[in-house]
Amino acid sequence: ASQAELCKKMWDDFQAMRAMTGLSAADDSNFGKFSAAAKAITADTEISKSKFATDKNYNVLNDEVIYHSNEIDKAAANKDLEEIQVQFRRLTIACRNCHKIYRSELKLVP
Amino acid sequence: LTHHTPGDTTKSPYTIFAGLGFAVQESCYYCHGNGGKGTAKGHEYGVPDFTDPAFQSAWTDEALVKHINAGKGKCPGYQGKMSPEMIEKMVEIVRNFGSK
Repeated sequence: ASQAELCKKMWDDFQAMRAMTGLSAADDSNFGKFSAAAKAITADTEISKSKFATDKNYNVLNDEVIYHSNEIDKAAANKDLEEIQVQFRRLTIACRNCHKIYRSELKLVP
Repeated sequence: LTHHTPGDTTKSPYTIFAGLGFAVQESCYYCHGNGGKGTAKGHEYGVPDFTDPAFQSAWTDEALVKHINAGKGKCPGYQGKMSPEMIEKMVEIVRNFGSK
């Protein structure tokens, strides 16, 4: 996949999770979707690291995205919606860090 | 240098480099973004290219720590705004831009 295709896919997975983070309660279907989106983001971020890394910082920033998507996956397995919401906020910061540091002038969201 | 272990982004020096806690113009990425090569605004101010081997060899870690603490010209001084350990992690980030 090209970087643009990868970003599009990761954005769709991110949006899928964001659509559910406002829930006050979640059912098994929601937890399943959180887990699937988190796994997809982890896998795509690994591809991003292997294909597009230009230096060590790029890898560390991607590792921090992976750390939080894995935490979301674990929280989904534990059916812990609050922890998912905490980790989703931190995932947002991790994604934003990489966008700001590497695509500083594109004003990407998040 | 104080090494950063990748993990929780709320404890990450990259979150500070990317602007958390500082005004945009005082945030490192504002001038030193684009993967350390520098933004348009940064080039206006004459920032170096962190990915350039010549830059990396011209500066020692101690000189980088001193510069980040004191600041110079448009680059603010961060002494008292960042802990000494965090400043060392910033130096590690600068070094990382120059290595695979």
